[in-house]
Amino acid sequence: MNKTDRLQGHLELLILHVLACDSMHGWAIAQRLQVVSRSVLQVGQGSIYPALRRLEDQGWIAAEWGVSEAGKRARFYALTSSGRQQLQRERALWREFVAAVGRVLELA
Amino acid sequence: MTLSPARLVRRLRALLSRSRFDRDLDEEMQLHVDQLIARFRAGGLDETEARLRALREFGAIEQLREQARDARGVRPIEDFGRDLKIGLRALRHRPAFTAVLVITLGVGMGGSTAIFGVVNGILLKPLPYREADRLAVVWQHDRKTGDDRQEVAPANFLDWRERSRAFECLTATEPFGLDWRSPEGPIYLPTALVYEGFFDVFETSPLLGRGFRPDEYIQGRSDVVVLGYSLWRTRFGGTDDIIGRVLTLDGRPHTVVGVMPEGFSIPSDDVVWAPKVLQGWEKQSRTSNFYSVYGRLRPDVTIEQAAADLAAIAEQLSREYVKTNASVGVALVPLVEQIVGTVRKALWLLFGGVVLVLAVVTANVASMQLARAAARGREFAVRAALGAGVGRVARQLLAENVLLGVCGTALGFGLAWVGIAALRSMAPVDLPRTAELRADGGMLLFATILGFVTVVLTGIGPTLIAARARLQTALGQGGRGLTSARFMARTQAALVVFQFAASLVLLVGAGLLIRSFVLILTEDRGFRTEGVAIVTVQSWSYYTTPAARAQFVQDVEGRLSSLPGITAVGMTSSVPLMETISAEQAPLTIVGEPALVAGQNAPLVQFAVATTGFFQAFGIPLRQGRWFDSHDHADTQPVAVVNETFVRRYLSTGSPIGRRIALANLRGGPQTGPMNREIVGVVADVRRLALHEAPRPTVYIPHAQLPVGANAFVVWGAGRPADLLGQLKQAIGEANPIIPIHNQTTMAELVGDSLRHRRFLLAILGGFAVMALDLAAAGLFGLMSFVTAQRTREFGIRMALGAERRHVVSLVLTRGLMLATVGIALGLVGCLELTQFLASMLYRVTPIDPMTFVIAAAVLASTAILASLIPAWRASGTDPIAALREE
Repeated sequence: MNKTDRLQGHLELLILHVLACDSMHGWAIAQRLQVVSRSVLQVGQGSIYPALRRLEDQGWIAAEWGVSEAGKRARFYALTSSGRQQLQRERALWREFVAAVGRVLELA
Repeated sequence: MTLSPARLVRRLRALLSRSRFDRDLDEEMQLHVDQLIARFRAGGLDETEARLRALREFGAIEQLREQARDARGVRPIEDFGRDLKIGLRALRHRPAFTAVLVITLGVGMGGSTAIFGVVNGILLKPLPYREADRLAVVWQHDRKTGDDRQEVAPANFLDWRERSRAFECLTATEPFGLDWRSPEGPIYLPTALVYEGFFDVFETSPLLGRGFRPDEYIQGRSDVVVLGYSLWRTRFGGTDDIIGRVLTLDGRPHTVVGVMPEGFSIPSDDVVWAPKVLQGWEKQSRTSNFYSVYGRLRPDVTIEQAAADLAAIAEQLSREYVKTNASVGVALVPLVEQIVGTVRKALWLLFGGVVLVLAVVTANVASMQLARAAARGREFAVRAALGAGVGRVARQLLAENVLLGVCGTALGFGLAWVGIAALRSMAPVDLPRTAELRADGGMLLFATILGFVTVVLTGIGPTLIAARARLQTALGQGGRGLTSARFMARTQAALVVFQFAASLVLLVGAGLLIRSFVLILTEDRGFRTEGVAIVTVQSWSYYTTPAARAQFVQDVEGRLSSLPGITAVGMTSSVPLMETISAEQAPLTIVGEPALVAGQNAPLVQFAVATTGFFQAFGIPLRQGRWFDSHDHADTQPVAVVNETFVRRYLSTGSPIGRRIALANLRGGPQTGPMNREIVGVVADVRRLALHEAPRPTVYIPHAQLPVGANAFVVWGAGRPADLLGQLKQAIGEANPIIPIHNQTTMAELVGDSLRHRRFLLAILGGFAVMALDLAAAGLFGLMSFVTAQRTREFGIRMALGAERRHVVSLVLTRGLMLATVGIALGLVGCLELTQFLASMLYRVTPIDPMTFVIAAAVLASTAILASLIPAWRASGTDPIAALREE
């Protein structure tokens, strides 16, 4: 498993995280993620859109058409309260996972 | 993955706003790409290059779009929607096939659903009373004769009511009649006198007005009535202002205080209820029984406990009143059982019949589907070759089946809707609760479940075929599909065998009923049916002395006999087959017969009061002796005429003429108590109670000597029934303008009514049998056509090798007949068991009547020959060269 794959698998968690502070449109989310790491969107910036749709279906984020800071029409995404809970759960799980893997690697 | 309601709503919305979803997505992605282009342009690239870079950066749009769509989780539903569309196209492509399938399904399901509606409406639905399962009817049980549906004697009822602790309330009704002097002339209103608490027992409040107050059960205050719903609608226009109206009933003003709601029909909804004023003599009467007793059980008491309680009380009464109650027990019957008990068996029988038909329908549709699937073998193989999984093809077939099922169910429910109305109108008068029958949610639910089951059952075969088609491709067998053909022929053969077996059962059942029906019709009923009209009145309260009643009857007869077109005029107290004025019974003593002395063992015989004209009008011939004549009157020797069965039973030795008999408890004569009557004549037997019941010993007494007030005037003439009835009514009206008519009918009508029950059952079961037969024939025809088509090449070779046409014909015929024979044999075995259910509905035919069995088998066998003949003939016409070249 290379780095890209691993990050790809966590795309949804990352999107939730990015949306935690502020509602954003797709373009902004993609730019933010690229700032974090270019490799996340290696397969293409477009890959955030299916991920956004999945999150919407789960009810973790909600979308609304609005006007962007550049004065353009854009679809804004925001965390719902259940999305917030989900983010916390995922974070906790992630930390646990990292800790566990860390311990195993220390020991080995 | 759980599907929360909120999520379901989101998906539903996504499903419904599919185009908007796509639009949003496209726009959003386009915006993103535009922004990328803009950025690359700003970075110094030219238009084309910027676009290329942007698209590369963004990713494969089409693929992303698909992924996004999948994300909404409505993909399977959308796919199924597409399957349905394809299915619809496939079905529309073969309109005839589809129509036949849908109609077959629809008719089968319509029949089942309609019959289910009848069964549900009459047997299963609770009665329209609160907690109706706590309602019961109480009868006297005569332990001597075994009759456990005897009306109750007043004093017994009063004791039960006082001593029983099992009931919240016991109440009783007494049949009565009130003559209403209406503005349009006198009208007879059937009436039920009711005890206090009657309406409370059924916990039904009046639709309008009120029930009776406790102080209205007292002489002088009891002139109030409550109307039945149907009576209110037909006689009083169904208007609200009826409450408080004063009607002249039996000569006294009565106030209408209430109207009961629709469906309240104890004893019917066409009656008037009036308070019962307990007469002094009733408190002691334990021998004349005429009450119908109803009760509501206490909530914690079971019907068994209540029965035990009443039985114990009856036991006490037997000891306390040995003379009258020694053999009087109690029979407790749940109200619903009382109302529908007699028809339960017939209705379940119909339901059983329709289930068989439906099974045949399902088998038929399944085999049509199979044939279709086999014909599509190539299509399935191609699909499989292109990579469609078994699941994918099965889903496609399921979609087609669902479409067929939905259409069939819709058609079926529509037919049931119409059918139940038709059944309601053709139902025999004595079928209870028919007015309540209508298409309802229960029927819809039933039709839907049925549709679901049918879809599953008929879909299995084609799916298996499709699965095999895939297997064959895998094995490289190509499109020809021999395995599939053999599998399919075998399944279809099994289905055909089943259809023939089920059809035989239905045919035998219908055949047995037809045989019974014909035997009843051709039985000598002993009376004339055509041209006989009857009008009945009750003259008791208009002529209080015997002489006046005798005079009234003579007067009416005299007026009628002078009219043109009337051949014979008479009067009787008891018209054959007429329930409301049927034969009474009286204990018989025969003078000089030691075995038949008055007292405990006196047999009950039927007796009827009549004038000589009655025998002439009804065409009852004299066998010995003489008729009554004008010399037999109140002051001469009492006489009687008896029927042949009477003579056979009681006077088998010596001449009956001149023997003396006595009947006890006769009401209406100048003196009470038995008197010796001389037998002056013997007449032929008449079937009085029902056409299928053998004549019983009967005594006829001249009206002049026993002037009863139950008067049925009868005429026989050449005129139309309506004219005869009109003449009858006119003559009665001239003799007494204020006496109301109780009943008017003709013998033909009475005979028809008495057979309606049988005709109803027969018509429906017969229809089922014909339907099943047609389907079985169609099934066999289809199978033989398929098989011969498969064997075209073989026939070609056979004929090329010198086989003659008839050899091929007999080859195919033999196979068809073989299948039919197996089916018939299985059906005959089934009949041995199943026709037992019919036993109680048969007349002089045993449930395993060999003749019916043989005829039914022959009908099926010849149907089988016909159904295989056409495919056989077609197969024999095969051109050997063409058949061989085709390969």
